[in-house]
This record gives sequence, structure tokens and C-alpha cells, in this order.
Amino acid sequence: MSNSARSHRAALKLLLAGASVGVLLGALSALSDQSNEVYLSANAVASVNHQEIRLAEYQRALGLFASDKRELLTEDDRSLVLQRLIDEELLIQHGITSGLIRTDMVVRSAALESVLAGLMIEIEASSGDSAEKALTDYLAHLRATANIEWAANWVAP
Amino acid sequence: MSAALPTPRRYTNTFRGLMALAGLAIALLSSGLNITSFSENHDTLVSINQQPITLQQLNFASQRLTGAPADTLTPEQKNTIITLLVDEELLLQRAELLGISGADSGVRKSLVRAVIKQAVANVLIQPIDAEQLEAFYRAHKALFVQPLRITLQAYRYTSLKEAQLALAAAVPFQDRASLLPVSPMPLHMLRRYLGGTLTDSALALTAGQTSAPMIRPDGVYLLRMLAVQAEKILPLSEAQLQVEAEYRRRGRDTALDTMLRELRQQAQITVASNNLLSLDFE
Repeated sequence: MSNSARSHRAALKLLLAGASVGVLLGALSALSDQSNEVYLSANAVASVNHQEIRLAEYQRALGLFASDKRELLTEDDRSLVLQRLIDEELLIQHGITSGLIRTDMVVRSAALESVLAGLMIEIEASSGDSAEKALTDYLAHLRATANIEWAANWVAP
Repeated sequence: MSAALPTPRRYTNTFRGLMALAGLAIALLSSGLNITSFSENHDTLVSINQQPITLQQLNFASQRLTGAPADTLTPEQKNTIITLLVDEELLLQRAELLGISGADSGVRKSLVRAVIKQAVANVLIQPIDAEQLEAFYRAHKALFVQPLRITLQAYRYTSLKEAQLALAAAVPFQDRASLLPVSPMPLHMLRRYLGGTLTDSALALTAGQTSAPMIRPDGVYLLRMLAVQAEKILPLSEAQLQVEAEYRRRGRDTALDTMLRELRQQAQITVASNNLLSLDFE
């Protein structure tokens, strides 16, 4: 057998091996998609793009729904509540990916308030400094560690 | 010096090279990597970890904080606002890093409201032309019904004899006030005031007619029908505002449903059936 024919056969074998690995990976991926529920924790009722909806959240929503309804909740009611929680999660994820945290003033304020409130708790718990000084220091630290690039035509403060 | 490759081999290598480049390009595009640079956006004043702050944002913040556009401010004032925007951006990035946007109930609520507002904004601002409105009204006439309304008087007595005497009097019901308001009432309100049995009896009366005494556990009743306004479909001229509101409400619901359907199609949703089955709802 000539060298050229041998290298051709080796290339074909490699191609076959590659294709087999591809098929195997594809099959594994498809199977893992089907058995996603396995990965949900015991205290989750659903997951939306890998974000879990917690059992406690579902039960709280059921409680609110039940308080508006005089009769006992039916299977349909429970399903409706779960679907509404999934819808809510979808809207939240869409809002985050659409950048509403920056462009919508109400969302922006809520996010800033929340992060500042968290910081204040940390500051109060950890340092003896005044909140204002601690916040100033924290912002200075954030600025120092961030990659901040000023436009050429702008004199940075 | 190596000899030049034969032409078919050269073509094969070129083809492989092009395929490799195409593969890289596809991988780069599908990664969703967004490289922001000043050349892309000439309005960018400063970029913080690739997140730009633009002239438009400066103007907006300037209007919000000082009531004037940024170009009327001194350089110091502009810098104060820019510094504020930079600090806000750093805190927002911190919020993103901590996952606050998805976890804080206040932020979640405001996000849901903002997304819904955005999804239905077009429906709410679009003018409705007269033809559209009329077609909608014609297709949904049953929604614009003025229900049956009844003007009734109801009197309660302690005994049957007392009620019979009142009924026989030349000018009855002089000694007491009606239990019902004088304005016309829809059926559901009447039932709330009188209960089912008396309301059903009232419906058998014609205008001007008085009922026979009716014995109920809490007394003896006489009902006098003053007027009956039959259920009627309101003409468009009278129901214009209701029709417009219903038209927009349905448009809003449709826009939101469409958006949710699209989001569901793109999402990976898993319901933990086993966890749900284990819940005790008793």
C-alpha cells in the first residue's frame, strides 16, 4: 500500500472518530436536557433558565392567592400560581438582559438603594468609621480596581 | 527552500484556513461578547469595565439634578455629575455581581413593572381610529350592556296584620322610610339588600305594583315597584370611553401574552413535578 493511501485511510479513521465523539456528545447533551429535573434542589418547584423558583416562594404565592379566594385551592389554581411565578421570573430575566437596571430610573433607583442598604449593614457591622467615610472609601476602592477609560476629548475629574 | 505546493493542495489548505476562520468567527459571534469601544460610540464620555457612560446620560442626569442641559453647566458641575454617574455605575456593577437584581424583592417588582410597561407601551400610545373602534364595538357588543336596573321600595313590618293595614290604607307607607335607596339599582345590589327570595318576588312586579305581604324570618315585607329599566346594549356614542378602555386593555393583554410566549419559547423551563407531588396542600 502506498504512503498516500495509508495517510488517506488514517485521515478517514480520524474523521470517523471525531464524528463518533460528536454524535456521542450530542446524545449525552440531549439526554441531559431531558433529565434536567434531576438537578433541581429539593426545595425548588421549577427552574427558569437555571434560576430556581423556591418552594417557599411558591407557598407564599399560594397563600396570597388563597386569601383572595373563599374556597379551597384547586389543582388548576396551584398550576396557575406556578405559571405566574414562571412568567414573573421570565420578565425579570428579560428586564435584566435588556439593561433596565441602567435605563429605567425606577429599577436603577431600587437597585442602587438595595446595594447601598447592603453596604450600610456591612459597614455598621465591620468598622468604627462613619457611614459616609466608609462609603467614600469603598467607592474609592471600587474606582481603583475598575477599568475606567476616559474619552480623549474629556478632562477626567 | 521548500518547493511550492501543488495547486490542488494549496486550494485545500486555503479552504481549511477559511473554514477555520469561519469557525472562529461563528464562535466569537455566538459567545455574545460585546466589545464596547469609543470608536463605536462617539457619545461615550467614560467607560467603566466596558460599560459606557454617554453624553445622553450626562444630559439626562443634568436635567434631573439641575433642571438644565449639560452644555449650560460649568466644567466643575459637569465633572460632579459625571463622578456621580461613575459611582452609580460602579455600584450597579456591584449589584449585578451580587445578583441583587434577581434576588431583591423591591428590584424584582420594579423590573417586572418596567418590562410590562415597555411591552405594552406601543399599544397604549397608539391612537385608535374610529373604524377600528366601531369594528371592535360591533364584535363585542355584549360587553357594553347596561344591566337591568330597578327602582324599588321595601317596607318592613313586625306583624302580618300591620302590613295588611298599611296595604289597605288610602295613602300607604306614610309612617316609615323605605329600606332601599331611591336610585335605580342593578340586580346584584338589590340581592345584597333584600336577599334572594324577596328580590325574586320583586322581579315579578310591574311598575306601580305593590306586592302582597311577604313573611320572612325578620319581619313582614311589602315591596313597591317604582320603575324597571330593562337591560340594554349601550350605543357606541354612550359607551365610547368604555369601548376605548376595553380595546386598550385587550391590546395590552395581547402584547404581554405575545411577549411571554416568545420568552417561554426561548427559555429553558423545568418544573420539579416530584417536589410538587410531595407537597401537602391539606
